[in-house]
Amino acid sequence: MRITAPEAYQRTEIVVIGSGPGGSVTAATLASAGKDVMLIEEGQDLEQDSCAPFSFTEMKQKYRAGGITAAFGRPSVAYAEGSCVGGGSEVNSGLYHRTPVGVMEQWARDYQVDFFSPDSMTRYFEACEAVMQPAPYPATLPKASSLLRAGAQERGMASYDVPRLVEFSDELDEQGVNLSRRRSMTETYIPLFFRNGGTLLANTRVSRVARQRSCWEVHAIHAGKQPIMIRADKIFVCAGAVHTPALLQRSGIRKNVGKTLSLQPMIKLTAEFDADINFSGMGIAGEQVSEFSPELSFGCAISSPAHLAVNLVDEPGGPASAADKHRKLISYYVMSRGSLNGSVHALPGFDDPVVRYKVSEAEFNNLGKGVKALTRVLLAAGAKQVYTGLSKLPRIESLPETDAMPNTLTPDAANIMTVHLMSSCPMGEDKRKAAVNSWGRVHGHAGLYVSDVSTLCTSPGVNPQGTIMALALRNSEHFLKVES
Amino acid sequence: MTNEIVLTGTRGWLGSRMLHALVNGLTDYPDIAVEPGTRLRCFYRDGEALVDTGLHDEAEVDVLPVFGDLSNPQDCARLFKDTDSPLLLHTAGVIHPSRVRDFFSSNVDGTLNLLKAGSRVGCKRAVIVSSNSPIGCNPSPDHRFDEESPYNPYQGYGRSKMEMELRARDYAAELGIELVIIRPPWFYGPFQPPRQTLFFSMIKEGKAPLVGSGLNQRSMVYIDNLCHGLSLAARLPQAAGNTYWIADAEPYEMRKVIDTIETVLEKDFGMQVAHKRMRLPSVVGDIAYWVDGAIQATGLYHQKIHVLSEMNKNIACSIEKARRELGYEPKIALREGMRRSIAWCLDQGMSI
Repeated sequence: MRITAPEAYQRTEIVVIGSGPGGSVTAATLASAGKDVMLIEEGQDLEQDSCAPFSFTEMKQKYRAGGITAAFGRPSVAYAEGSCVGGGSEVNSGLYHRTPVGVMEQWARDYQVDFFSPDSMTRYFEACEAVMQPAPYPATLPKASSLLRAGAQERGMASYDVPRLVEFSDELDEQGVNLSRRRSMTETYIPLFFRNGGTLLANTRVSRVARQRSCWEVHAIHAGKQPIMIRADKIFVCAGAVHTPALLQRSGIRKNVGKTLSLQPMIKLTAEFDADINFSGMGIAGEQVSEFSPELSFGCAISSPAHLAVNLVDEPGGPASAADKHRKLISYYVMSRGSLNGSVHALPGFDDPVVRYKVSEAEFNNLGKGVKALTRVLLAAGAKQVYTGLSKLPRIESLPETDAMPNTLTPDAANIMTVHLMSSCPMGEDKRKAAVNSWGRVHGHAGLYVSDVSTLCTSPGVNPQGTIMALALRNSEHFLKVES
Repeated sequence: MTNEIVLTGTRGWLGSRMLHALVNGLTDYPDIAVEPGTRLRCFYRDGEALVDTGLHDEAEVDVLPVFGDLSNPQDCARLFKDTDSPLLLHTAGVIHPSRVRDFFSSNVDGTLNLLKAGSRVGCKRAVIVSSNSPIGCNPSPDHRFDEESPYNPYQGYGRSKMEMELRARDYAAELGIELVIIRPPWFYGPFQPPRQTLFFSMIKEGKAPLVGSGLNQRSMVYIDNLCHGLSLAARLPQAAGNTYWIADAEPYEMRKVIDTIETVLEKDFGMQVAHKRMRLPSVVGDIAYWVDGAIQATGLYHQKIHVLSEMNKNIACSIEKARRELGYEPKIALREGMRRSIAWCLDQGMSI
């Protein structure tokens, strides 16, 4: 059920704040067990078909602040977050990875995450995969992928087509590639949530939560003006790596909250080819080079006209040439794993918290190495020129020129951005570091839980959605076991 | 009851009484006695003296002491060694430590170590003793806590017990152990520690602190009533996964507690009592509360200030759920319980 005109005071058993992959899995799992669940989302309630995928409209409607938010630091890191029912899953490429085994072992050891091991996680990954059905391209790869693969092979590197959370149809696009449609939260867990009697309240921003004698109170603003208050026995905060810690801090909960923030710093490169490769409606290419993973990876980025324009914004006449030449342009990314060098601080009186991130020397090294390697791969793939995003060498046209490329980056050398932020409320029983326990309960607070990307102890080095969903399922099932 | 039992806190007040009850039964609750052939493994801290159960050599109950430290997982594993699907009765807990962190290492880590070690030998049920402190104080004298009352922990001790309850539930859920949490308030009765005997002496000498009006309500539990509750929680299938308040039938007014002890000393034991109180304004209790909080914030703990801080508070619970679901019925109330308590002290050669 959707509530569009909420009453000022409401009562429910469980409130889930945020409807991204963490919140949707949590809400659907709890509702399926017969709990009375209200799912609150700050963004709009829009169908996936409300706009074209990867378009300007999508950026405006479904990203926070149109996708223009930045973490302070030198350099500042631009970041983008989904802000709509379904959260990041509605706007991302849907690349699916399980958490790397070594990363899980490291979390269990370094943060004392109880009952957590690669073996114990398998069934949660499998359960989420049964719903989400990640799949690689069934037949022909998109041109962006096959070019990257050919270039990587030429340079002696292996690459592979990462499974994606999409549904492939038998229909083919103009390059003979199967068309696909995102299997986002609004196509999977949100309908499951509705089928099990869940209530969705969109367009509602939670300002704070407060513990009262017999329940929790959720204070929120609906549609930018109407104050509402919801009483609940239990609260799950799933508002993402920036807004989860900000909400907890506004509610007076600060221990290990927002003190660590990780993000995966990313640089976008755009390759220009002679032939027409790109076309509007080209599917997302999932090819990734994992030669240096998990510390460094590179692969295909979203290359729709809207995203190309953003990627070329620093080129003289870039956005215009992106529009002119977009059939010849494909964007790729270099992504470093990310450290815990960031923080989130809510400021009294401001809606948005201050987000800081300091790119470490190791990450500058990774990015420098990655930009150079990827440029060579793209040239080997036949690119006429590569827009590197570097301020000193913005365009590279031949292999010899790459020798002059720096091996490491400096703060003012490139535009760094990210779409993966995490680890601002890490989980575990080590109370010196962890904000929440091994199953997401906020330390020192009964009935308050976090179940989203914030609880990842560190960056997993891969796209985090698979990790988020499996952890959310694990937390929810544990909650149900304890409550029964 | 299963025929293997692991008991912790054996040397403690409750643990030693429970051991006595399991071996011999209690006058008012003879059913607590275990069946012949039962094996009891009793945990003692290193260096503690054994509890004398009065067992003779041919007894059919096998009592085996095990020494160690609950915060050490290996010691916990040793406690459960060679047992098969035992029942865990966990009564150990630090009540008045010198440092706040001891609350956590003993109450939280010790409990989790026990559950983990128990699950490895097929422990199906664990009964753990918590306290009233995770729930705090009642908002008014006529208010009663029940098992649905939210956590509102009283200082460091309350937080450690809240953590113990929450984490024990987390662990038990993952390990497949039926957990029963027992919350007793202030208890009294034979085997009491010296601090309680001191309280009797203060009343006799007219130095008992009466903070405020003394009209505040305190739930108390006579120790044998508590043993009865523990025994039901250990045996009955319907207790699985539940929390119960176990106390005397009704809470008592604080001034009535002091009056009753005074009456027992005078009428039942013919002692000369001073018939005086050390009357302190309620604010003393409030100041003690803040001082207690401030001391605990530094990581230290002061027993007398902590106890004083609770003297003017309402801490009253309802035992309806235990009555309804377990058939718990406390047979001893304040007057009789205090009489037995004082008789025991005198019997032990203590002077009041």
